[in-house]
Amino acid sequence: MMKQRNVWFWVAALLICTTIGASYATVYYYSEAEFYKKNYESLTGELKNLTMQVNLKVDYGNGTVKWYNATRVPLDATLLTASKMVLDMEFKVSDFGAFVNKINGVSGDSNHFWLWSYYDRSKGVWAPGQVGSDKWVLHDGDVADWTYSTF
Amino acid sequence: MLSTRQISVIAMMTAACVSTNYLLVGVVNVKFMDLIVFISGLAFGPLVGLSVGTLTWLVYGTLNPYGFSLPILVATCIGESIYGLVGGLLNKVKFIEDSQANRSSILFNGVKFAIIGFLLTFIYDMFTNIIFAISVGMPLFLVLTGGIPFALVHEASNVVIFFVGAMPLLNVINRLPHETPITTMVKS
Repeated sequence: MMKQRNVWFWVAALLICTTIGASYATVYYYSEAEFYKKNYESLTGELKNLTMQVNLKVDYGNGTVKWYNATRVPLDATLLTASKMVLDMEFKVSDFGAFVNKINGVSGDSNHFWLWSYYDRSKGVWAPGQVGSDKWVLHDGDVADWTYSTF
Repeated sequence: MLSTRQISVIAMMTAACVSTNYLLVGVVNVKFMDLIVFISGLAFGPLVGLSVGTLTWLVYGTLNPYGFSLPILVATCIGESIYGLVGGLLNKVKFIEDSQANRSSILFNGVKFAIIGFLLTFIYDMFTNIIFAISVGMPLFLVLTGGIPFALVHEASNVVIFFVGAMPLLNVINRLPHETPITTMVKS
């Protein structure tokens, strides 16, 4: 009886040890999580001062449309540089500006071209791009579109 | 008053602690010192344990490659002597089962030593961290959370060292010539 009580005493002591160990691990990982959360928030705050968010739309002309919303790009980004960040693109640059041949592997139809347009907020309509996409400087909140279509 | 034999035991155990500490100086928080101090107290009484713990840190804390700090030295001296003190107090209760009896008794003794090792290390780490926070003026929570990885290494290593090393060390001490056999001190 005495020995059995003795065993339970040590079992209780062992449980205290595991509780201490678990508490240590909990506090440590919580403080680590808080540390990285603060770092992330601080970094995001700094990033907001150096970047802007734009929304890009890709219309493959076959009914498939894909949006790349809230894409964070550098402050002086053009439509081409912003698009290159999220899309796999092939293009040629001439005096008239960049001419995009392929986006995400879609090309090859001699009657179809990749054309871009932007959303004119003041008029509430999509307006076709007037210059090459490498000449069109984006602003925070801009919405631009790439469509695989005929003229 | 300490006897000549006790003084020689203190010198021998302190030398063992200091030498193993310098041997493991590159392995942070993994030391045989805690076990040796604890066993000194268990085998030879709380006064010997206290003395070994304090003297070890007086040498190792003064000539320490990681630097010298008086408040930390005082804290570690007191903290380390707790191992010896508790070891000495456990000498007075029926702590160790007859290790010759069977394997389960050996295992049970090992587990008991591991638990004692863990709890004493927890107290030691907590105590020294609190003194460190006060002495350098850092927030206590920051010091305690920052010290958790080191404390876990210290506690885990001591669990292993106490589990594996306590009984063999005690058996070796038992073979030494004694005025009073330890078997009477360590009740079985």
